[in-house]
Amino acid sequence: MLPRERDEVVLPGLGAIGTVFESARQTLILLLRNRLLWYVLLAEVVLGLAEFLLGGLSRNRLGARELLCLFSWWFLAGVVLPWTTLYLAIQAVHGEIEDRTFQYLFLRPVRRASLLLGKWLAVVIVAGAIGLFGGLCLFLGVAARPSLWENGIEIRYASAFAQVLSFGAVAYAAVGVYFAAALRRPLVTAAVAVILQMVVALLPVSAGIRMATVSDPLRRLLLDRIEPNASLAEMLWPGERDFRSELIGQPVLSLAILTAVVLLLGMVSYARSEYDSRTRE
Amino acid sequence: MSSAIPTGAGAGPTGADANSTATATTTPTTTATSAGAPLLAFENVTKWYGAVTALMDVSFEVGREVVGLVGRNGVGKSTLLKLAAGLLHPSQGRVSVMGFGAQSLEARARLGFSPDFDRLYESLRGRDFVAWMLRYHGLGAAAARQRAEEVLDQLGLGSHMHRRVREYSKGMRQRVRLAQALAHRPKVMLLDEPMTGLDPVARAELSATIVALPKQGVGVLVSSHVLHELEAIVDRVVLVHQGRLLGEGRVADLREQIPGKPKKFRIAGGNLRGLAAKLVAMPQVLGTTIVEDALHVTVGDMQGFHSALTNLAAHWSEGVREIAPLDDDLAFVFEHLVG
Repeated sequence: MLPRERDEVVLPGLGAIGTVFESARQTLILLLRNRLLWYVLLAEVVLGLAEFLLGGLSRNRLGARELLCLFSWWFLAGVVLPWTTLYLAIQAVHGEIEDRTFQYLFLRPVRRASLLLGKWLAVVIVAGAIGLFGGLCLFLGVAARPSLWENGIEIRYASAFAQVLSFGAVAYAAVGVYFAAALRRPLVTAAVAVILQMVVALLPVSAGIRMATVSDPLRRLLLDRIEPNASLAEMLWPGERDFRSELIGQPVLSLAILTAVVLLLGMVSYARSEYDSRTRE
Repeated sequence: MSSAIPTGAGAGPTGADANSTATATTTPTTTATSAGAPLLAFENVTKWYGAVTALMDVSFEVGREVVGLVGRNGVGKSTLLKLAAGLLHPSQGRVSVMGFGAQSLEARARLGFSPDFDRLYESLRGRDFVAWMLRYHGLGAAAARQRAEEVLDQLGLGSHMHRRVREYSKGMRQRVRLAQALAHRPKVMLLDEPMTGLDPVARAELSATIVALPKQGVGVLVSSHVLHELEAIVDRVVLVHQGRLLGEGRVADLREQIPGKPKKFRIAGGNLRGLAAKLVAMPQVLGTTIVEDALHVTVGDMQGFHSALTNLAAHWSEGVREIAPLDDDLAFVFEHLVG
């Protein structure tokens, strides 16, 4: 038993910044116990091996850059990263809403918005690590075949994909926590949204709606970083036949705005929702 | 399980200006209030879920006492507790904890809630779960662990606190839920069906813990379906039915307010047949029955009955050993009021 004088004390609660980091720490620990995370890492190793094997078979058809872009963009940035990030974000936020353990957190003298920011931060860290590990596996997969590189191994491709995957983790995590905080069936919505945004992002630049996706600014960021030739550009953006560098615009700003908006919407929803009301049930 | 869980005894500002003056602090603050100020107050609280009225114009207060929340399933008990915990917003009216709006950080710092659902962070150890929750109250990692260990030890989980929650029995999980509610020394405790899943010994220990809380300045609002257990620990009850407050007060007082309902007494003594004859001769008595070694007496009008019975008992040469009411219990009052 603590000394009696401590009994008179009201514990004041953690501050906003402290809550963000504590929430992130706790969420991180819980996410690291999620088996899916380890399955995804294993799948990324397998993807790297597949790429290495394909590189051996396609010596005369696909160069190292094409092979790397094909796997890193279409498989890793297009499928693994969004699906995994959204799933982890929904697990981190909506999982607690589903099993009602969110009540334990909402009873604490801390802001809900800070709790959600912490969860987002944890998902960004995990998703970022998944993306970077996958990017490394895929880069090693082609780097292990030096004969595929016309001008020697180009590290800038690894750097470009690291940036794309990191920004992707930030944005997809924001979308995920927003879905989890605001929607009753976020996993279904996320599945539809991922497919829809991939389709929409394929539209030519004249279709303004693609700006509302994560894929589009990520692709523009990638194109900006790797400065592709015409055939590589067409491989990465089949919907735009006439790719020009002026089409790139400001992808980082687009991602930042998208992330800020959905994160804000998620925080408002998380702070105001009555997750335990009969209406919701 | 110890009955002496240390909790706080202070209070915050009360009244309309409480919210404007209260701000989250970064250091522990010592607070005080008058002993009579309500710790938890519902003021004309109404809650709608769309077109459904869950609660209608409910008002009551909880001081440094144990108040039982009684009602059938779905009448609004859990809604009341969640409103007090700040998990739901009242559609109308106000819920306050020591003068602070129930959804304010100040209120949450002073409130502990043990919910009725059986979910925790399954992969964590019991000690870690409680410590994690304490971290949000501003305790450092080491202090949170120490405090979690103390509370779990006092709740009888000392030897199991390092096991994972998923390995716990239902009773152990219940104690972890209680521990997270008690660990930060709340001034107001909300307990939703706290006896669920506990064995008789644990129930008795928990009852003793709850009864001890008001002595430490804590107000307790507890809901339970087990009326006789609730009756044993509460100072007052609040009866809720179909979203409305049917009545509140001491069980005996509520019983007295039920008009036109015959009361039953158990009277034990010598020469029961002779005693029955004397009782039946009283105009207030409707009938008597001998049950085992006592008389069960049904009284229609209490006016003058107590003095007549006292007089009879004092002069009954065979002796009267016991006079006890048979229908003063919570179950009777509740069943009568809800029909």
